[in-house]
Amino acid sequence: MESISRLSEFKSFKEKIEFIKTQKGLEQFQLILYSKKTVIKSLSLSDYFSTIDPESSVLSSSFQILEKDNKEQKKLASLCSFHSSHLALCLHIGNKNKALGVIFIPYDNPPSNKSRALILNFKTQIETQIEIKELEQKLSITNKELSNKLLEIESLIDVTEIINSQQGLKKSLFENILITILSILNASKGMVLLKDEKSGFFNVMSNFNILKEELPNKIIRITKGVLKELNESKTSKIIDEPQKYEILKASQKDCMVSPIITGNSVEGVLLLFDKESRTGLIKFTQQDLRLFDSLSKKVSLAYDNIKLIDSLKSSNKLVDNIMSSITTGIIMINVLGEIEFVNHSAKKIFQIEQEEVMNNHYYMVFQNNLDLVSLLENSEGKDEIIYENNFKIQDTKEIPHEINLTLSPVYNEDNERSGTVFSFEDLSGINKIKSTFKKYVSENIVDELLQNENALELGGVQSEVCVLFSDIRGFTALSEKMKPSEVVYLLNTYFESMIDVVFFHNGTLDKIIGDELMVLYGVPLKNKNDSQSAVNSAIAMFKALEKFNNKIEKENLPKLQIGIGINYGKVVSGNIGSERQMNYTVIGDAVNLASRLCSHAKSGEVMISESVFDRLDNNKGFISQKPIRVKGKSQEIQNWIYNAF
Amino acid sequence: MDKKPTVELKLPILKNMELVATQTAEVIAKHMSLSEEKTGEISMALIEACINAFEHSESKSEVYIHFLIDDHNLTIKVIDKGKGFDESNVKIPKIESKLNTDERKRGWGIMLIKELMDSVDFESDHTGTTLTMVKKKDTNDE
Amino acid sequence: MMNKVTNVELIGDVIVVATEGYLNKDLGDEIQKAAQEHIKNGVNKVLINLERSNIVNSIGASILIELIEELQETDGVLAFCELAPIIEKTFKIMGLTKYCESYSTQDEAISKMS
Repeated sequence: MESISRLSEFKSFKEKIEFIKTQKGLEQFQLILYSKKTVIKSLSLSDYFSTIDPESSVLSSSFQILEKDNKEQKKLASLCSFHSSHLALCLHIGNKNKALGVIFIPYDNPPSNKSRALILNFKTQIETQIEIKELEQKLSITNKELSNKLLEIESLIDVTEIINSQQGLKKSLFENILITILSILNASKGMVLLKDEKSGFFNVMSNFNILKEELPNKIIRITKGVLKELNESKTSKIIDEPQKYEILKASQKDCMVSPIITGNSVEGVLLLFDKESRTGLIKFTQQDLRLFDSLSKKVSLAYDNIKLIDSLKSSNKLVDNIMSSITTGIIMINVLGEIEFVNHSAKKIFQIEQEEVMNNHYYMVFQNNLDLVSLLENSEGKDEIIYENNFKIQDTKEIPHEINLTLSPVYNEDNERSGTVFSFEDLSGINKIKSTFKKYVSENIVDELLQNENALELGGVQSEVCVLFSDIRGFTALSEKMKPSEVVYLLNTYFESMIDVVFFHNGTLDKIIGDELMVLYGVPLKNKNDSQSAVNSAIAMFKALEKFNNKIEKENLPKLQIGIGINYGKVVSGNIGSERQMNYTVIGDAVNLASRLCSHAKSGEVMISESVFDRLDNNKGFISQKPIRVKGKSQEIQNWIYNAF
Repeated sequence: MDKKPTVELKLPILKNMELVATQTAEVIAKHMSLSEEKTGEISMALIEACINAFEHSESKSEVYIHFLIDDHNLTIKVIDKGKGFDESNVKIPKIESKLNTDERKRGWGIMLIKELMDSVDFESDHTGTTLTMVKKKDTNDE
Repeated sequence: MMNKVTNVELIGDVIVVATEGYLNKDLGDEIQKAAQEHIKNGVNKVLINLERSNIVNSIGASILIELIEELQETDGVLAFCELAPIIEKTFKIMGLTKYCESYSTQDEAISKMS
């Protein structure tokens, strides 16, 4: 139909409506729209907009004829400020069951079918257009939301990058954060306040574009002003009247403030003042506030981490200090065999430098210590802790050391092997002392003494001990026939084997006087039966002597004969001397008697006194002898002899 | 030969009794040849520790102060037999948010002690509290 | 107890409060009261001379913090002179020194404050 096609030619609805009004019978054509104001505006149809309540209209998609006195007609007529004729055509416009408006055509003569078709066409066009516009609008809103989100994400990325790159330098971190957030939100001024850990007052950590006189110079506490409000609400806010608050005096328009919260307390505040736009200073929007809030939450997290890192650093330092003060060497080796950690003592013992060994393989680092390398290799496969005592190593200066070491496997959270801890103690220092000490005292006693501090005290103690003397028969005559070096060799070898025996029986070597040996049983620590120990020693000494004699005979040296005397009695014993130079020795009659008994004993004999005999658990082989007279004693001395041959 | 001489004070909970402790501390510090600076720090920390202890004791009994002297450190123990306290409570900002002026004045003590002494330890239970603080004689000893 | 405010005098536009003895809560309150009398009358520069006070406790010091806050409300200042080193250190830890000056002598203080 030509009028319909002509309708479509007109671009704007206004033109379309004017055209319709030129059709016969449609001169009073009225269009009334009552929803979606913005859409209608976009179609330039605001003139036809009315704010009546659409609920009273009937939703029908067909023409209705309204009588003059019809309530509906009256209402619609009043909208058009139209003085009605008696009948009117009415057609509702809507989409998806929602009323959008109505076409209202009062007439004198009923419009033709052609005209109705035209109106219907118009209705369809307008409905379609409104729908399109609605969709456009929705799209636009979604786009806006998306671009806001994008801005938010980009800002968060920016801030995160800053935080990650700073590694805990508070001042520059907050400066950079402030500048970034400021530019994201177009603020012209900004400030960051941080709480001082000690005083609890808030200080300005960084500021941007704020004049000195505008900076707060008063004590800022959490109990007053903006901070009080922030502490109570713990959320970001826009503050409309900044003049009310001392710390916001730099602001002219309005400001946004956000608390920096770690744990549950406010540790700082981010403040932005005066948003800028092309037209000057404007107010911050709710959208700005939302973005600001999410950025400041990131900052709070970052600050929390910084504080953690700082405390971790100081506890790391503490750990470092502890590690370096330990005298145990600790070396951490990873699964690949590379050195990951070396403590101070380890470096000292092996004489290595940090740079030389870190991240190098243990093959390289311990190339001078092949035994150690194979031990480490073995430990890689094993899941148990490996101990080695008196393990010999060489440091980088090729000086030998002995160490006690432990190799412990290490596992990560997933229970996979993550490496080995090699810990070790240098025995050199201890060994030196111990070995020197052990020259005089049986090893067992040394160990016991080292554990019991009180045992080594100056001062005399009266106690009962068993004293053993042994000497070589006719040694002086022998030695005259030998070279001096041979004499020394002979004696040393003899003593070595004798002392081994003595120590085995827990004797304490008191003195070596020439060829004479004095041994004590029961000091510094008592044994179960000191007399028995002494006697057992003596018997064992003869056995050892036999072996010794066989050996030196082969070396063309003279065999030795010895005699032994043992007595048990009261002595005064103790460390006599000064703290620096002590001699552990015993004094008393009992000592002298032991010595006399020794002189009386013939080669191969052990002569013991009554006090020893009475205390023996096993006195097999001891034969009573005629009492003897000894120098310095009026009474005769009972004695028993054991003959070793 | 006792290597760690000890001085023990028993203080009644009366006003300004903390000054007894500081006087004693000053004499001991002199005996140990501590610097003026360290002496001042010890006195200050001790004042705060005493004030805290007086508070915990709630005037129930006395407060004991032990000074342990050795070659490297002066260790001071402040012991009260009060109801004990929880160190973590000291950090709650409640102290600051109360507008009651007395509450605002408290809470500095422990922070000051930690800043002025080389190490600080607490042991506290319902039978009482022992605060142990140490001043190193020679901080070049690190 | 021999701790007290020994002298209060107005020198120029500065009210000078001198003390003696232990700066505890009592003495702190006294100082505050003395200063407030003059602050009422419009003085807003306060100098506290602690030459004869060698010890302080944190409660006394926190009363001084309150005094600082009061003065700040009228853009006033609080300053100290003749501080013993340990008192200066304590004030520093507690954060006072950010908000007040510390002078060696009273004369220096007065001349700088006027």
